[in-house]
Amino acid sequence: MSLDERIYVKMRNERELRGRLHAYDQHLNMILGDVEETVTTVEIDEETYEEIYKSTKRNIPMLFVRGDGVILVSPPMRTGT
Amino acid sequence: MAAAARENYYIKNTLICLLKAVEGKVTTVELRNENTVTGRVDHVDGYMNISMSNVCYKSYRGNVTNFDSFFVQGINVRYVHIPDEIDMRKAMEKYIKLESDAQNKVQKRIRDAAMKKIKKRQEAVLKAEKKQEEKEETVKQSTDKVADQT
Repeated sequence: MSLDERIYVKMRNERELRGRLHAYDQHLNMILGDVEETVTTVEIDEETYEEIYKSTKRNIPMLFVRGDGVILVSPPMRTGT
Repeated sequence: MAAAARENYYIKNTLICLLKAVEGKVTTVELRNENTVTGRVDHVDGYMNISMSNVCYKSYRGNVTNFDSFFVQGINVRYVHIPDEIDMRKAMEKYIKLESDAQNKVQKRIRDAAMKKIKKRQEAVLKAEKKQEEKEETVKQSTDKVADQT
């Protein structure tokens, strides 16, 4: 299926992971390799009240993800599609 | 007893078998509250509770505290970094083998008991048949005797 393929995982707290799926189980606990985590925060400008989206990225070689934080799993979305 | 069985089920049937492979290694656990705990993993149980030693607890703000021993409740875990030196395939195979060995043992026991029962039944049938034959033999002998006399 998607084992050993690159996937996109959307997690709670505005987090996204892109990595290679090595293993998963029925709770959606997952092992991801070569993963890039993106945390998105929204800041509101005090004067103009506009929303500024900031995202922080991090790279981790091998990661175990607990399933209860996972919202969805999909093939990687190319940014822009 | 039932609680331990449940935990064992979780360990063998989910990816926790892989976390068991991290026991003894130094790694980082990220919690749901965005803080990170880096240290040696002493023990992982079926509910993903992790007990660690020699930890460095970093809050998301950057505050660092050191602890000799630390316990994380399983529900508070977000990520566990897996150190590079772990061979995941070997670790998972070890637990799958344990599980299949246990299953084979149980099935063998059931099979042996069934064979024993069948054997017992067959012996009982044979015995009954033998007895019946002997009875018929004696009856035949006595009728022959009577026939000879007359």
